[in-house]
Amino acid sequence: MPPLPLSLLSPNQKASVISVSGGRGLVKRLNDMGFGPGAEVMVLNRAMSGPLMVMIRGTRVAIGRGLATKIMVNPE
Amino acid sequence: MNGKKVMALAGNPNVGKSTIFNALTGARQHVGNWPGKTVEQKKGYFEINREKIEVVDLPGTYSLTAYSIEETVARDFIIKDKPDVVIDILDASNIERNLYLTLQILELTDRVVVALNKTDIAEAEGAEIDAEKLSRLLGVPVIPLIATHKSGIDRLVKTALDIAKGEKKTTPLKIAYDRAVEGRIEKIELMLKPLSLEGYPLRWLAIKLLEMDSAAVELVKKAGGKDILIDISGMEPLEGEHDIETVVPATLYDIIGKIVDEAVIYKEKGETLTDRLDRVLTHKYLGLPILFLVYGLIFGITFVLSTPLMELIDTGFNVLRGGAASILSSSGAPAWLNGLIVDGIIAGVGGVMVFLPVIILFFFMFAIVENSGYMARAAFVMDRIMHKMGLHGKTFLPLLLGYGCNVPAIMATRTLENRKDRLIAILINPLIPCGARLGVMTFIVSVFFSGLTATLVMLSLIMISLGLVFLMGVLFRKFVLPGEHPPFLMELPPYQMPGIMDILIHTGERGSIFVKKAGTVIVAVSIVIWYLSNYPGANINSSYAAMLGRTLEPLGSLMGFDWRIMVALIAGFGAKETTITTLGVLYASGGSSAGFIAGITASLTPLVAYTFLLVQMIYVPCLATVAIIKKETGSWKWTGIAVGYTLLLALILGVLVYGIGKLLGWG
Ligand SMILES: Nc1nc2c(ncn2[C@@H]2O[C@H](COP(=O)(O)OP(=O)(O)OP(=O)(O)O)[C@@H](O)[C@H]2O)c(=O)[nH]1
Repeated sequence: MPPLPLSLLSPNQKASVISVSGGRGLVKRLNDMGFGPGAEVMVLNRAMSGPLMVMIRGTRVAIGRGLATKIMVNPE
Repeated sequence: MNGKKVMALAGNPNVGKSTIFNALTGARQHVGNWPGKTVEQKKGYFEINREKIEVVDLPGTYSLTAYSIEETVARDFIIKDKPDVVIDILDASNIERNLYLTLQILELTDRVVVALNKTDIAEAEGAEIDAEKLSRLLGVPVIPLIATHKSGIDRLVKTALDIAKGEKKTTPLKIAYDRAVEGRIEKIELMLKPLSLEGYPLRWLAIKLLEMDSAAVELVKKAGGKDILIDISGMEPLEGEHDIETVVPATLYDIIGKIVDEAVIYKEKGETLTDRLDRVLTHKYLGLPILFLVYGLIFGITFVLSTPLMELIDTGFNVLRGGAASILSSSGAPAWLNGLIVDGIIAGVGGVMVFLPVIILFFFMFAIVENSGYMARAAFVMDRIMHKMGLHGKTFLPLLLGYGCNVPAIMATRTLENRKDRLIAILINPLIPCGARLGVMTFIVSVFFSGLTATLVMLSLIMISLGLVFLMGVLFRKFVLPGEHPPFLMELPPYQMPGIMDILIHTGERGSIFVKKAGTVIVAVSIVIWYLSNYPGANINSSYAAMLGRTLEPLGSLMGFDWRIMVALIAGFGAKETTITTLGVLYASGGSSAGFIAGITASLTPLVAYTFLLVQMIYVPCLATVAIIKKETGSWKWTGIAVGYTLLLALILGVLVYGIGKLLGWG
């Protein structure tokens, strides 16, 4: 499957992070929370709009939709 | 080093720092299952072998960058205050992400002991952690812990003390970045050597400078290292696809991956309770109705259960007043003393103690929600709505806290990274009626309304306050503090059975704060009010209070308020509870509370009572809240705006509701 933003990943589909874009502070914060290249991520909960709930490095994290579009992932 | 040993507790949010702090010091700090409760650095003491030890609870952080207040506080403490030992607390059920901070701490100091907490949860989730191996890999002692059962605490203290005294040496793991990065670090370190840098470790500072960490840059600028900064910004970008912001964390997570592979065995785990609960509680359609249901239950139960209890306390204080009055008059005490004690102090404190059930019940139920893990879900579910205000879900948590007391709620806004977002969150927080105001509302509503009407009136007020929060949030974002939609990123802890002791301790704590306030601030205000309403003349209508109230009466009459209500509102600025006390003194002709209730129901129509409730809910934050707004914003301008707009809003709504009500013939 081709790479896509995390915001479009279907629920329960595993993927690995390819890259994170955005301002310096944002990239740093996402990296700190574990969304770095290579990290395995899975969407647990997703509605038509609003935030997503994802599993990243063993932790449940709520992430705003806007942020999730900045994380490119590679579905497995 | 001689003198008192200092231990610092560091760790991610929600790892159990406060629980461990309480276990060590016997303090009763707030424990709850959501990230971001501890925003302040707290201190406590304990003794071991007659030696006094200081414990500092640092705010929970994921990292040690300069992007948020908490992170800056935590890292400055470790670097500048140089604690004798840092106790780094890990959540064993979440070890990968938690080790990220550990590695950063190890870059700063070698006096570290790792407390591997929540091992019970890790085990239940099927993770087997080899503490010995972990310790060998990290190069510092690792002590497994279940803080809620106090298991492992003794060993932790002993090990921490050994390190603090230098009796145990550690050999923390060295983090090596790739060659290109290491080359730069070395170069910068060399350049930094001549500067005097307040004891910052040079290697660490070099890495931070590469990352353009604002505080590090500032520090070097101050130390006269402008040229170094220019040199660094002139360095060629890294080869390869990732820049330094990504490479540093990636290296850390790489090392962590290897550590976890060696020290942790994961058994296949099935679906957890949290998975199942989240499917319902954060459901795309059900999530919001469930949140409102939880909300409604908290207020409904508080309101329904507290009304009879309030009456009971009220009766008790009336008996006390009667008793005191007869003892005083039979012992020949002067009339003024009798009046001061019976009508001033006992009536004043009694009028406030009546709220105790509201406070206790509210905090009890709130603590259950807080400890269960649902709070973070509330933020998740509310994100979409908060988004419409240009804020994000996390901003909802300080609002929820506001129902208890606006002071800690405003402090909790520190978890918001962006200053503008934080200002908005601070400005709208006073619109959430705190426990004291809810108490006033419950009391007055139960005097003027009954049965279902009473509950609906109460609910309408709470809905209006929510509407105003939303409206003002939108207005502030649009016209005063415009900004981007802030990014929403928040950890959601697993659900847990709320610990009954945590809940009881927290509820008891809040109850005792309230009683203490009644015994101090409120006694003082009661005495002042009693004096103002009994002097100079014997008649209340010619008292100082009446003079003060009458000057404001023209304003009050727009909302149907007489001078007594205006005085009560002024008194409420000191502490909102005293609004009731003041009304009690001013309306009670006979002195008893039956006199007060009879007096106030005879003087006010339900419409005026409702208008009064609305106004008292919104107008100016109390003194303590104004003080915390000043402290947290650091600006008189924003403090003035907070006071000014709430006052204006209350006036507008008061006039509108009263006017419309009268037109409709409700007056
Ligand atoms: N099962 C279990 N729960 C624990 C343990 N230690 C703490 N907890 C729970 O974890 C939650 C968070 O604990 P706190 O002590 O409030 O966490 P904190 O680190 O101070 O959190 P912040 O203030 O947000 O940084 C609470 O609900 C505790 O009851 C443990 O060893 N086992």
